[in-house]
Amino acid sequence: MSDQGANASHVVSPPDRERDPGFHEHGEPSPSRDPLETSQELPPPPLPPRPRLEGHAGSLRLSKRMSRPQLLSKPTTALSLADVHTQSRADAGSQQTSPTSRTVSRKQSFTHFGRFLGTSESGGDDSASLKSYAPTLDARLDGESMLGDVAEEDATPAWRALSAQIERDDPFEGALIEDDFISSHLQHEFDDLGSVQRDGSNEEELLDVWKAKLKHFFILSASGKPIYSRHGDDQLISHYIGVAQTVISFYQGAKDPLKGFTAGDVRFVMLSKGPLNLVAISRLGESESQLRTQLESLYMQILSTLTLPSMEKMFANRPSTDLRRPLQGTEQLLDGLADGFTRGSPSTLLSALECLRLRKTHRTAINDTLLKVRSPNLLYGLIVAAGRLVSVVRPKKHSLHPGDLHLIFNMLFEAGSVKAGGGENWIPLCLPGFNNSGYLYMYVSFFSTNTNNTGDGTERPSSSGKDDELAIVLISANKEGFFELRKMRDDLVAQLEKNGSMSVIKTAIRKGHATCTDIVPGTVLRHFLYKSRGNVQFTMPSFEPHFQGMVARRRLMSLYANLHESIHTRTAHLKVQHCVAKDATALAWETPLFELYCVAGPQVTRTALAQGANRIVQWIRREEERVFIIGGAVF
Amino acid sequence: MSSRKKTLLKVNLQHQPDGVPVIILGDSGVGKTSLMNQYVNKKFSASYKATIGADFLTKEVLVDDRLVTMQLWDTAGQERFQSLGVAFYRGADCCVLVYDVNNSKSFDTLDSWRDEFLIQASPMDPESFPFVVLGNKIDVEENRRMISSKRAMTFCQSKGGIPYFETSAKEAVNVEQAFEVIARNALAQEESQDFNSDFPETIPIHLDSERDGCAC
Ligand SMILES: Nc1nc2c(ncn2[C@@H]2O[C@H](COP(=O)(O)OP(=O)(O)OP(=O)(O)O)[C@@H](O)[C@H]2O)c(=O)[nH]1
Ligand SMILES: [Mg+2]
Repeated sequence: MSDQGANASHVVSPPDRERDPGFHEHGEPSPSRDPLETSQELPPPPLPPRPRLEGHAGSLRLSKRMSRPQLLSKPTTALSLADVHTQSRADAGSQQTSPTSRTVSRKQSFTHFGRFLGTSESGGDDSASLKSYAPTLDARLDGESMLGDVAEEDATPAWRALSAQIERDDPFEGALIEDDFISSHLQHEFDDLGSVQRDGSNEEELLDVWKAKLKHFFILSASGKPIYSRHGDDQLISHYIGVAQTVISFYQGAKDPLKGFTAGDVRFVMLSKGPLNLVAISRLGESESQLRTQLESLYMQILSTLTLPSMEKMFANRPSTDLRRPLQGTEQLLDGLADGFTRGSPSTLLSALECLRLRKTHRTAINDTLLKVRSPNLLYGLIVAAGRLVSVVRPKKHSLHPGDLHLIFNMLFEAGSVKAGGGENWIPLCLPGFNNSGYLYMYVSFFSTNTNNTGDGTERPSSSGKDDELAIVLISANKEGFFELRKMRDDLVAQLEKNGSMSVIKTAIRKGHATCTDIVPGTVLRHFLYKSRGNVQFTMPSFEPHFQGMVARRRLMSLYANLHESIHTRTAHLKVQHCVAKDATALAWETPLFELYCVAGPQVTRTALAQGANRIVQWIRREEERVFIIGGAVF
Repeated sequence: MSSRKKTLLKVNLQHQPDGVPVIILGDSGVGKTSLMNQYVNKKFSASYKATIGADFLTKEVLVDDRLVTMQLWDTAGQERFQSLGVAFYRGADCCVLVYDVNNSKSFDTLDSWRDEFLIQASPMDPESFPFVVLGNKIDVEENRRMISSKRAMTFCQSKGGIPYFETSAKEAVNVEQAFEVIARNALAQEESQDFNSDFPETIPIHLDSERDGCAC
């Protein structure tokens, strides 16, 4: 099963920011001869780039060199000290003077960057005032990563004071402090605000509710017209939109676009995309780049509805275009995305997707079935179970863009509109990662899997939870392809039933995620995220038993977000980040092949944590072809 | 007799291998999806989820002792999906027009939905093509009602006597009855099509041979 050719070996193409801009060696694809051409006689779709890591395509081959920094038993000796960053809440004072902790854990502090800056009188840094912080911040980051290798004495006293504060303000502690705040607010975060009464009598009251929301997203046109807001109707928030618009255009006018700022514990991030400005406002402690990724995703949803050329045309014809009309019905998709970000999803954080764990032989059987029943106009075919990918069938030349998949998954599993009708669906959509200029057509059919009858796969009714859902998604460029794809669905289901794959899938869905202790018996770990960078996929254990409920999950995701951010802003090749707090310990480990984030209970030693991490890596190495889709069915 | 019909049916329809296609049109939010859900799944949900694209449902019904598969196309009322709907207009055997009795705009647009359908589907005999009009949400308080039964019936009369039903998807009022008529009319249309298209099947052969002869 070795994969020949990098194209064939990647189900998912890496997201934009991982693209190698210099990559062009494939030449342009010429898909126009086949039926995969997008509608409206578009130019051939751009070839999704190959992931950078050609050499390690699709398999976790830890070379000797790669795995040299063994975490196995004595991490302190195996790792260069500069690479280990310990944040210790418990004894911040003594840590101050220990060489391992001179580390400036700047990123973690982003959780409370705002709060910290707001309270810190020690000057020099931007405080809560409106200021484009990006340049200064970048400078600081560079300084810091260098600082990692520089002796402690080099740090100025002010700098040390700064890092002391940051140390104290570590993410775990932060999460604790915020616990009450989040739990009380998160419960109502998704409640509908209602609208302002005609006499305006309830406006003040609504504004209070509005302001209590942990997170806001706005989209406005370059001319300041409101396009979307997660909470509150036009009337209520017009004033705020006006302010946002003024601020944004001021900086745009100065040719120094505002990227973001913080005020108190609130972070503001702006993203300008052609005729649109997108704004995220969050109190959940996400970093600037994480919020930016979220905005990018909202922008992709808009493109998915409109396509780039038609949106640009609308604005070219009339700069004051009101985009709400053409976007009608897209609000629920944007809401779905936004709420997913607010709840916190591993998939978004890692820009990767998760697969249903299956034996290799089983997955191969499913792939073969997909290829066998493939209909001529098919572009992509997906089998998705409980939000996880079971299998993919795709042309050799086209991998799937994780951003596109995220839009599809959001539409199918979060937004609810697709299931509302309870039937099969035929949906025009643009997959901007694939080609932002034309529409594709998506056939969707849901099955309920919680019944044991292996019958004809009855169409699922609209109400049951997403954990037992199986969706077959078939995408074509042919607008009239509904019945063709429907037939493929019928054939596929019949074959999967016949060769036993359907019951294999259903069993896997029923089993759900394994717990950490199922995976590594006796481990100290309570949860982990493992992302295979080459496959752009991740795997994780069940959230149970330690992280049940929305608040616990949001907290865990905040921890992950902080670890993720801290490790991504360093430039070293191998990075390990270790965190200690009152109620948890955690470790992030990044290599060119993978990212691993582990969380354990309090007072777990670094050695134990590292051991746990290593066991996970070993497990993945054994299970790689089960937990990840490598290649998929390619034609 | 009926088995012969069945085989012919298979040959003649380009899109649908079997079944009687019915399309449901009307403004966004009038309750098309809710009516379908009530009819097919006996369910109602108060929360509004705008349909994206089109939903396809099937339902087996007995019409005069014959089992017929209705293929129901629930289309999105939103403007931007109208070009998609067009793909399904052709081949439909009945067109259901839905409006909300508490929303006069949704009634005013019925005529343009109908026109659009006739233009795009271009049925052989537009005059006799079966439409059914449903005035939905009659469960809402009387004082919010904008369109009287009389007004709706006058409209239906003026369009060649379109059958009219007042329904509530929420309280399952008249939904079964309406769809029974829809099924019956759709089947009748299907069969008349069936009959008509017996000719095109054979004629081209003659045309071909004639043309061959002439061209030389
Ligand atoms: N009271 C009442 N509400 C209804 C009735 N039918 C539908 N609704 C409500 O009206 C709203 C819109 O219903 P849908 O069935 O989604 O409307 P639609 O015509 O499918 O709309 P689009 O998919 O956007 O074209 C929903 O909130 C329904 O709950 C009804 O008979 N009575
Ligand atoms: Mg609908």
